[in-house]
Amino acid sequence: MSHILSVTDLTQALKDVLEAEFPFVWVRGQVTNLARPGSGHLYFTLSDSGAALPVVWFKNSQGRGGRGGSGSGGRPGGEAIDPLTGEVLEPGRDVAAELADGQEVLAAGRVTVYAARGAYQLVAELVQQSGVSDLALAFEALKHKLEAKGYFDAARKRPIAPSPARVALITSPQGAAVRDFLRLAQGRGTGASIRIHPALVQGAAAPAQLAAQLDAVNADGWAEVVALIRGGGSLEDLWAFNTEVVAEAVFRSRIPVVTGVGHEPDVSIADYVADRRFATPSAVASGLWPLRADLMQAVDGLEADLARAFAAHLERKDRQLSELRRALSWLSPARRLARLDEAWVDLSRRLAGAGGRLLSVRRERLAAVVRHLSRAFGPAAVCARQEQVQALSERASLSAGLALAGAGRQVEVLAARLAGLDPEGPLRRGYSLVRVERTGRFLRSTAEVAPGDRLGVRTADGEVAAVVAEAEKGRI
Amino acid sequence: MAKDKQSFEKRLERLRGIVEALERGDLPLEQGLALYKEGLGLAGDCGRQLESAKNEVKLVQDGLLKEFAALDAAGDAPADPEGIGGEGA
Repeated sequence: MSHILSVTDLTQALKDVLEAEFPFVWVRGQVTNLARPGSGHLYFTLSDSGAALPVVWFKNSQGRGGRGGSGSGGRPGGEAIDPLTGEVLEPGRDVAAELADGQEVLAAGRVTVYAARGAYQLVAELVQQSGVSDLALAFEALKHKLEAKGYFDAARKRPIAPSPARVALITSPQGAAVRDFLRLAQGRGTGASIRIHPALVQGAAAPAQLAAQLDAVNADGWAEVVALIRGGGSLEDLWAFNTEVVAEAVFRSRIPVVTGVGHEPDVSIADYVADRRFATPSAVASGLWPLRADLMQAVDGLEADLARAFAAHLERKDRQLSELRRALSWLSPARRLARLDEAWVDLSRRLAGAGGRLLSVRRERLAAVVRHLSRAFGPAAVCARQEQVQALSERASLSAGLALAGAGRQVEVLAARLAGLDPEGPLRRGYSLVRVERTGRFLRSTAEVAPGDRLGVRTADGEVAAVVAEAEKGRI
Repeated sequence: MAKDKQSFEKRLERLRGIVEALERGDLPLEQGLALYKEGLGLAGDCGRQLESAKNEVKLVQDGLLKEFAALDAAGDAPADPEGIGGEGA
């Protein structure tokens, strides 16, 4: 609900759209409801079978379509310019004065919205008579005839040489058309040769002259392309280009033909037959040659490309050179010497290394032997032996003690046994020990005594002196 | 003019070819240098050619080439003495 517009808003919006979309248009239609109020402005409706368009043609715009009879060369004070093509609009007859209901006209102008009435309309800048109906009929008849003969076939259209150097221009040397063409051509291309072949472009003699010049250009054979141009005008004005004689000449031209006849909406029979049709004379110039500024830009662009490509080329060469230099220095005698030197140094290093290793192996083996020896006889071994000695001596002293103790015990035993052998022991048990005084020996046999010997008889507590009475052996 | 123009197209084409050849990068150094010099010359020539480019306009009358001076002065041009300028529309 927020989009409710006021009538003014909507009308303004429509006005903006319409006027932006149709800033300048050409409209063809029949004049009806023509009104000529005292102001001098003209009001009428342009209509065809399907629609009607209100037109207002203000007085100050009417002069542009103004006076100026054919062939006079005269110009009205102000020139009208087609804002779409930049084309200078040719002065025509006094269309404003002659305008009447029922005429077919071509109106050019802006579409505007007349807000007060809620209507859109065309504000005409220029109105041209669009021709008489029998001309239109003749046009259609010829168009069908030539079309049937294949004159318009796309297949027979020849390509136009790009940026042609030699152009034959068939036109009136006095018209605005040739001026527009040459003015546009000035800023284009790289400098072309243009030959103007003058011909009437309007009137009864025009078709024959146009055809004759086309043939002359072909006979000459100089041109790369021939251009047939004429400024805008009514259907009658342009009629020469709708004649069979011109169409035939265009058709038989061996040199490609381009046309630029009338204004944007005008299409002539010559246009249909031509190899390339342009809307206006200036459009022909634009179509034949590229803008010189564009060419300059292309040259500058190529120059920049060239510099870039050459820099890249140099860089590649530089790379190749340093690669070659590296390769070359690898192969040089000095480099070879250095390489051999390096190899020698390497070998001697390896040799020294090998010698060192050899020594160190021996040294290691020696060290191993020393290690073994020191393990066997070194201080540690001595120490161990000492410990063993110590242990043994300890054990020895221990054994000695034990031995002594054993001996003591044996002594005791022996003493005991010895005590048993005490000669006084038996004395105490009753035995007596008898010693012969004469021999001094203890008496063991009867043979040792003779009667009368003195005996000492020893007892446990003393001695008894006795004398032997008898000694008889075996008497016990 | 025609000769100059033709050679403009040819020069531009040659310049394009030179740039492409340099970009391909399989040229000997001397040839690359020579091409670069040639390209610079071509670019300079093309630029000068465009700077000085001017259309040559002649009027063909009775099989003869005549100077055509109506350019930029059409408004003041004298009435057509030969009576052939009947565009008038």
